[in-house]
Amino acid sequence: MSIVNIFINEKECKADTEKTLLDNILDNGINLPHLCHNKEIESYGGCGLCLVMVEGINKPLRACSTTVTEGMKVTTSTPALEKSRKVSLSLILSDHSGDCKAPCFKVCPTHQDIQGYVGLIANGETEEAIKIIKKDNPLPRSTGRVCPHPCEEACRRNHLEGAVSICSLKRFAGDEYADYIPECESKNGKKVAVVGGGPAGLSCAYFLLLKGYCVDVFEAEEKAGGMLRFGIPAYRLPKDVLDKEIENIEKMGATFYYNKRLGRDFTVDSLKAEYDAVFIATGAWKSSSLRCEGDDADGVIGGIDLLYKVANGENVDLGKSVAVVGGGNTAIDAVRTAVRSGAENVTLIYRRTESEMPAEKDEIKDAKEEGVNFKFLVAPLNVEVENGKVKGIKLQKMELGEPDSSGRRSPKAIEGETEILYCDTIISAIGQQVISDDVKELELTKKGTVAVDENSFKTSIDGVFAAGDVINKGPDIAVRAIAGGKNAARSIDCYLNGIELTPELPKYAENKAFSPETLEGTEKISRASVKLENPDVRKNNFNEVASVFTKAEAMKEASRCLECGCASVYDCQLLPLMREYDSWEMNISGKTRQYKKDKSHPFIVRDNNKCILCGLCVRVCNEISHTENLGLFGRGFGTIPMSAFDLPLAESNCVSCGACVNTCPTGALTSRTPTAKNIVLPYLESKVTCKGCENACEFTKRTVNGKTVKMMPDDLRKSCSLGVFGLVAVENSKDESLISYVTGDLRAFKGDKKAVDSLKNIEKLLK
Amino acid sequence: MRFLLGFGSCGIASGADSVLEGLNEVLENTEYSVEKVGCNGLCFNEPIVEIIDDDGNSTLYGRLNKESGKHLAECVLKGELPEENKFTQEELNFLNSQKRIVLSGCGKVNPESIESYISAGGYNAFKKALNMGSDKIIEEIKISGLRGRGGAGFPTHFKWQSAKNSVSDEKYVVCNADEGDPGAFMDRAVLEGDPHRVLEGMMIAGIAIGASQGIIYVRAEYPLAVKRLQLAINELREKKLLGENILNSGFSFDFSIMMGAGAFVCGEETALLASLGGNRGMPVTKPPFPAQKGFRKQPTNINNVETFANVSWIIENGGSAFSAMGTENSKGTKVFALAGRVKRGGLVEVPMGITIEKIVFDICGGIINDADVKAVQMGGPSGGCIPKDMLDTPIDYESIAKTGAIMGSGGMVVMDENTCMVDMAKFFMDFTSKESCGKCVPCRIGTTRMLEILERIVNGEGVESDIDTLTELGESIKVGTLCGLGNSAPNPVLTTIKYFKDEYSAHINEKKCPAKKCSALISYNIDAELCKGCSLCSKKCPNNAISGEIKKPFMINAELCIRCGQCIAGCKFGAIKIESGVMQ
Repeated sequence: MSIVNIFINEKECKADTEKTLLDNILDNGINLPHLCHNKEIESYGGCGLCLVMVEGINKPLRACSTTVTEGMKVTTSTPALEKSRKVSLSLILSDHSGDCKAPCFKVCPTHQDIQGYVGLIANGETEEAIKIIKKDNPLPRSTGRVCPHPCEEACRRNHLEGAVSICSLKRFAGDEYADYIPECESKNGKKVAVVGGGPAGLSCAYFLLLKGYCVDVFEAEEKAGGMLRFGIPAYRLPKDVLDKEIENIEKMGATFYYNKRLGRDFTVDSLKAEYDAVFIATGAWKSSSLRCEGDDADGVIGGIDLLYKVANGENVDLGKSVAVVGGGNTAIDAVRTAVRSGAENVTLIYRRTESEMPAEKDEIKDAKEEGVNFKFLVAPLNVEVENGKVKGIKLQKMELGEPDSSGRRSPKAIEGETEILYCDTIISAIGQQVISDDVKELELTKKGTVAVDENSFKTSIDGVFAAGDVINKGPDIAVRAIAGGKNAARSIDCYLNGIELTPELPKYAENKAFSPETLEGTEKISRASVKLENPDVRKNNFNEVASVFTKAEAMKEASRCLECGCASVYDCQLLPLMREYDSWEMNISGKTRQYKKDKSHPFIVRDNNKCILCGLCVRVCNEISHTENLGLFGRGFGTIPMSAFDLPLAESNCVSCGACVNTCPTGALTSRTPTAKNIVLPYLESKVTCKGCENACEFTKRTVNGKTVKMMPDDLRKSCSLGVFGLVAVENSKDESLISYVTGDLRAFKGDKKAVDSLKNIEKLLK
Repeated sequence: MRFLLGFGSCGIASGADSVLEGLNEVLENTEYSVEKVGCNGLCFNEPIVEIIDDDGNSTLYGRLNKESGKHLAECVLKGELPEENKFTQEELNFLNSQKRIVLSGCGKVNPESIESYISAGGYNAFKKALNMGSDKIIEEIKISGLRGRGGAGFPTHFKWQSAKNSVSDEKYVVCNADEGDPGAFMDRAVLEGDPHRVLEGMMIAGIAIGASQGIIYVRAEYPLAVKRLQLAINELREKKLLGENILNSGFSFDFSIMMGAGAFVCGEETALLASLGGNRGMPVTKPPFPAQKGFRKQPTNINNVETFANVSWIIENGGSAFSAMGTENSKGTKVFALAGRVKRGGLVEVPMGITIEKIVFDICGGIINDADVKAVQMGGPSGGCIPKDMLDTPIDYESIAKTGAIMGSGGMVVMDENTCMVDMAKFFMDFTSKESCGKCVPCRIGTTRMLEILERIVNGEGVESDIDTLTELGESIKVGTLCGLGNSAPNPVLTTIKYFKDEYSAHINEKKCPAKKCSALISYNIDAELCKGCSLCSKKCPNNAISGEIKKPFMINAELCIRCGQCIAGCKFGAIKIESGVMQ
């Protein structure tokens, strides 16, 4: 070894001639992107990212394959080098067929780490699961009951036998740990007023409280909850469940002022004078009228008005026959509420057919079981009125025409074909509107909703933010209001700290070319649903219809998760580079390679779709392990690493040394943990000494929630199956003496024959 | 009187076997016999017989068959030189302006006889070199200005010197005979026609760098070359010109032949070395250079076939005789394989500095049917195209590089106005993307993405931004790739964009192929005035796209037409026209 002086970006540095230029640059604390280099093995030069310019040489050199000489002048960044890196990373992205995050995560408006909490439930760690859930969702018990769960639509299990029951799993975890309250940052002294205690307001308050803000919530009603309380019937969301969730937010420090209505008791201006920021989430409370002759007659009521009255404990007399107009969730809530309120004949009237109904399929089924009649392809023509009171509704028969812009076929009237449906009450459940008068201080959209910027949730008044049903497009599902409140809280936090608003999510790679064929061979396990109360019983009361999974049921259902999100998302070396160089910007795309995952091996999962051909696995297999089990196959674009004769890893000559897993820069090679699911969460690292043999190798241990998930020898050459995979197995074992053995207390272990035997068993297993 | 029959792969493929039969029928039991020689480069007229009379006067006959060969032999025996099949003066112009060093023995010496080579002065240079010793040899090569003929043009003496300077008991001389460019066949012709010239050059290099082992890495697709090389090596061994202590000089040397499996990238020297070592043919970064750490991690000198074939001439005639030819920085001669739309294709060896125009028109006789030349593609898939108005570019490494093309190993494809430049670029990109070794990102994925864009363009699905994307990708690939293959892969696309951007635009914006080649962007029409209504075209059409009444003009259904060209080939009246652009 000899030390020379070199200049890196004009800075004089010491360099070791035995090391490559890349290692010297990194040793000097200078960042230089690279993906195929490992100092333990021969340089490769595949990724082409570590390009540098060396004075006197007119073309770029790969720093990983360059030796240092005295006085060498190196530049690590020029526009041409950066451009080349960007193009290379964009090209890698175009052929990297993997999902950093699962599809369920992507479609969830609040972007909950579904794979994370479902996995923890599967592993029996429900308490950890609720912590994950409440990082992103303040109302898991409510959403675990009422959410139409877009996540389940996106679930890839749909390609097999049906989505994982994500929503019910959340309900399980939420109910199990109903008292869990996350820790808030210490108070920062700033005050925010939240107007409206519905899902958006509660969510904004919750996330601001977490950040250390003082939050006052102004609620127009006697109790908070908004649409969750007054728009959703108790048989779907029992009030005590909602009360408890609100109480938790109160316990976090929010002060609720009830019966305080915007415009009546205070104004935006008056709040602005008192608070550092104001958040408006007053919702959309006006039922849209039927807009036909007679719609003002006695006996015509709005869907939301009915639900409100029932929720408020008011007496409602709907008569014997009820007609509900509409096809959405509110219409379903209205018919089922009407049934429970004593109506004998309840008919839902919808102008298209059942398959076009926006309501949840399960709820339609539940309503039918409760005896609701469905009348399709009819539209109200006018209300038949007698003595100022509803007598019936005249219906126009319809047929389906061409699909409209939303893809739904639009109904057309069949000329001259009408009928009359006699009824005592007509419920109009065709949508809600914002009561614009309440928010007239703010700039409104044409629809009369509050106009806000979609990213920052800023209104026309500086320091005033809004979200939920009151803004832009108007009413939407609860979880989107929760997401609005959450994002508005983040925007308020940035605003009050004078920092630029960061994007909601960092960018992730996704497998655009996903094909269901790659799931072939996956074991089919039918979807479990929670038990529902018997229709004949439930239709007579407002008790909760759905039950909750038992722990065993939840664990079983959660274990159906396919773990679509990448196990390496937190230690991927590619992802941060793709973000740094915005590999998405060039929008390069083309054919991709599609491989099935190789899950044959007890410790290693190979997903070649994510392989970037850095060659590290092949090289460590040859140069470190000397197994020569892996090699590159094919030429050009189709080149891929595989074991000899393309044998599954388990049947190949693999010795399970783990060197490949520990050097793979992406998620193409990941290790399995002994638990049901691999928990992909940010990890902690610590140093441990392996006591598996007399070599006593130093390891870096990764833990998630205190559980060991990965062991990496500090010296790659010391990779061995016992150290890399055995220790993880031992640490996850239930055997206390084994755990103490591995975690450090050798003396405690020495006399323990049982521990020795267990370890030997594990060793045997590994061999 | 001598009868020389061209018996290279090209001659055999054109029927030299039956010509041989014809000649032998006559010459049997006479004092004459047929001498089988290699290709003399006049490929456009194969099979070829050269008659050399006792005074050394040569007469060439071409396009022979068994009968005409027999007739020729009969005439010659009678003392006549018949006019039938004789090369015309115009055809003989092919040899004008040529200066043959590398090809001097091709078509002249019997490649299967060391005696034939020796009698033409062979191995004199080797003997001379044994006396000169290492330093003087390298000095002479330096004076000659010889640069690597494989394409990159690296000074040969420099490589030899650094291999010599590397200290080791074990050094290697490797001949790169992995000629892989589509359309290039110079090396094959030399190996088949004059193998001893290459071996002699390698042996001299062995003396120069202190190596005792020569390895020829040759494609398995060149079986005749392999056979003749092996024969030549056996003859050398028999003559004791190989082995321990050759001619009591203290110099020991021997050869082995390694056959490559046909991967283009194995022509790249580090990939070649990997392949020689039994590994996957993938390039590695340099340094270390092969001269420091090559085959078996020992100092290794790798040169191309043509480079070695120059060496004996330089040693015999002196470096300055060589450097007297050519330009300031490009000395000696260069062999080109002429292919494409020229009247006379074949092998051409010219002094450096001659213009491309001179090769295409004076030597090769211009374009078939006297059509307009459009461009010349130099350097194969790694090279670029040089447009018509730049054909006065002189042949030297620097001038060619300035156009965006490269000298390359010597493939020269001449294109006329009927060549679609986008389609041509696509062809080469298809080649390089398939031949990428898969190691580095810009080449493996970049060439694939460029190919996909080109495929879209020729299919009429190009978008405005495609030209910029191709340029952006191409330029970054050139910066970021590991080896010469990837580095030069975008050249055909970048040069065609540079010189023929309007053709790309026509494909993309007007959905037209100006050269009327890309089937998605052309339409076939019947000229009603020329059509006689004979119905032949409709009978030829494989897709029932043509219909009409007899004796009335026929019509083509554009939706059914697959633009296969069968109707055009069948029409006797020239009534079917191809039009650029798709009929709406």
